[in-house]
This record gives sequence, structure tokens and C-alpha cells, in this order.
Amino acid sequence: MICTLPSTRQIFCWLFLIMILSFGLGGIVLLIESDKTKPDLEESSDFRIPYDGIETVRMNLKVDTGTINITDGSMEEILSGKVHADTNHYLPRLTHAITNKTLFASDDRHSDLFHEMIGGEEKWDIRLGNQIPMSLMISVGAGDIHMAPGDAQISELALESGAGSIFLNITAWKGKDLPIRIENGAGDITILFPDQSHVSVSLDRGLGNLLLTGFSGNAHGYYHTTDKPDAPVIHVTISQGLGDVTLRTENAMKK
Amino acid sequence: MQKDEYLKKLASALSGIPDAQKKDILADYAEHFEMGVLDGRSEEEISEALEDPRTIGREYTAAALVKNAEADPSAGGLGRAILATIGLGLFNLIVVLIPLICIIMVLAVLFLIGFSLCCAGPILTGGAVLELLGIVSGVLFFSAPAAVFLGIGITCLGLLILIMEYWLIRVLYRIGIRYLKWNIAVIHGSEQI
Repeated sequence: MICTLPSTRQIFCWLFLIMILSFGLGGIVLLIESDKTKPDLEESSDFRIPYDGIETVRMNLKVDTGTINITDGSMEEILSGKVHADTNHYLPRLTHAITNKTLFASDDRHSDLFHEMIGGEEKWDIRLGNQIPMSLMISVGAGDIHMAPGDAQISELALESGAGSIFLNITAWKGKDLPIRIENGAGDITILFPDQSHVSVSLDRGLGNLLLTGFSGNAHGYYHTTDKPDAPVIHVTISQGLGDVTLRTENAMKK
Repeated sequence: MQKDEYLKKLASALSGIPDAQKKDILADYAEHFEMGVLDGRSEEEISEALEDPRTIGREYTAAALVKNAEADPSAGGLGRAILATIGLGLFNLIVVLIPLICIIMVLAVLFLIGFSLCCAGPILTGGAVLELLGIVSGVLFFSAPAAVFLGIGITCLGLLILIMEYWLIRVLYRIGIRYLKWNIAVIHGSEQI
């Protein structure tokens, strides 16, 4: 039996037929399915971590796409808040483990190849307690970080964002020494400092404007000092590719 | 310019074409000189009346390359024919190169669309099948069964665009050859070269 390959014209006709049938069937199924109520895929979950004898906290949060909003005001818990995901299947959780009275908190999420490729947006709202020192490492691939931790005892802070804005308000911070590291690929960075503080900022930037209020210095470093000798000391290291950087002190803001 | 010098320059300018054709052309021009001498004209007068041998050589070379591209279709052959035709003058740089760039861009865009659809279709169908099997969820914002069919349809559409582009290239090739022939004839001043 001799098999002959179909001609290009025959292949074209068959493909055209299959295409019309597929689009037709797909359209009909789409119309039928559109009458059904769509399941709400969005999901959120709350988290609360009580003090329970914990003396320090180290939180490491990594989000691919989404926003992180960190505020103060958690009265009876070290950490509390809510995480929201646009797909319930990939709803992340804040997991924690306690070792030597140190709480290690980090994100945990189900992931697969499709989620890696397509991704899903998450929204984290985190409230911090103000009773014990905390070391925070926050990373977002694409999205904004908004952080106003109030008087939470932050001892170390690292913020990373691939693309998105970073806002940090530490005007109410009451500690002695705070190292801050900020890395941002593309997006604006805004930091508000307490007026009664000694601040040194090391800046490594690509393109964008630099807006300083209450600071002096040059491209190698910017400084803000106060007459108060026991004022807190804040060291900031900023590495940024593209975007504006705004550094302000509390009093300068009021003016 | 004497007959020998003229023919030597013409032979040098015809280096890009087959020997048999080259001999015919040189014989034609030698005969032209002989006929002119019999009419009582000097070789200098005849050579002055003729075109520059380098220009004639370029025209014949371009015509030969176009004929080769027509007889043995290939991208390289057409490219050489186009380059040789463009080399005939500044006018050709506009009337040949600009349409050529436009055609290449249209073909590239069509290929990109077809290829993208060929890739997008299987991804959509694959994602829908995985969602129907319960392996993944939430990757589609519309019905998974519909996505299976639509993915197949999109794949077929992509393949159809690629097949149509293949046909379009063949048609454009033929039109391109005719256009180059017409262009050379216009430059030469006659239909036959």
C-alpha cells in the first residue's frame, strides 16, 4: 500500500475546517459557560502570632508580584494581618518557627510551573507589635512596598523590589541604631526620617531625580544630624537602577 | 577608444555571467564595430556612439542574474539579482530597495503573528487540559473546555497564516523577478537585453 502525503492545499483546507469547528465549538461552550456563575477564585486569610515568651523576631518575606503594606498597631500579637491572593489555589501563608526564643517567620505558598510562568498577585497587610526587636527582610519582584512601622522595635531592615515603589516612614522609630538596606530596580523610593536622629545615606543610583529635604552632602553620601547627642543613629544603603529618590526629615515635611 | 580596448573593457565588465553568453555579447559588439567600419566610420566614432562598456556590463550581469534567479529559484539567487539591479543606478536604489524593505517587513510581521499563534494555541490548550485534570487551577479567566477548543483554533489559525505566507512568498518571488526584468529593460531602454 502506497501512502501519499497530502498536498499543501489539502492541509490548508483541513486546517481551515478544524479552525472553524474549533472556534465555533469554543464560542458555543463559552456562551453556555458564561451563564453559569463564576466561582470566586479570590481568597484571603488572617494570621496572628502571639508573644508567648518570644524575645526577637526575624521575618523574611518574599513576594513575586503584589503589594506589601506594613504598619504598627498589633497590640497583643507580635505579628498580625491578612494576606490576599487573586487565586485561592495559590493563597500563601505566613509560617513561623521558634528557636531559642527567636521567632523566624516567612512566607509559604503552593507553587507549580504554571504559577511560576503566569504568576498571581498577592496583597499583604501586616501589623507589627512594638514590644520586642524585629529584623525584617522584605522582597517583592514586581509591586510596591509601603511601610510605616510606627514605634515598632525594628533592629534591622532590608527592602528589595525589582520594579515598584518603596515608601518607608520611620519618623516614629525609637531605637538606638538602625541599619537599612534598600535595593530597587525601577521605581521611586521615599524615606521619611525622624528629625531627632543622625542619618547617613549611601547612595548608588542609575537614572532619576534626587529630592533631599533636611539633608546635606554629596554624591558619596548624604547626612542629617541633630544637636541631641543620644539621638538614634540610622545608616541607609540605597541601590537603585531607575527612579526618583526622596529623603526627608520629619520637620522638613511639616515646613 | 579603439575596438580592441572597448571589447576588452566590456569582457572585463561581463565577468559575472556565463562564458557562452559572454561570447555571444562580445561577438555582437564586435560585429557592430565591423558594420560601422564598413559604413565608413572610425572605431573611435563607433565606440563614442555606444554606451560605456562598464555600464553595458552591469546591465547584462544584472539581467543574467535575474534569469538565473528565475530558472533556479532561491533566496540567494534573488538577493544577488536584486543587488545587481540596485547597482545599475541611484534610481534603482529607490524603486527596488524601498519596496523590497516594505515586503520583507510585511513578511516578517506575518511570520511573527503566525509563529506566535502557533505557540499560544498549544499553551492555551495545554493549560486548559491541565486545569480540567485538576493538576493546576486558576490559570484561566474563562471556561477551560472552551479554552481547549479555542486553543486548537488559534493553533490552526497560526498554521494557516504560515502556509499563506509561504504561498505569498512564492507569488511575490515571481512578481519580483518580473519587476526586476522590467526595471532593467527600462534602464537599458529596450524590452530585450
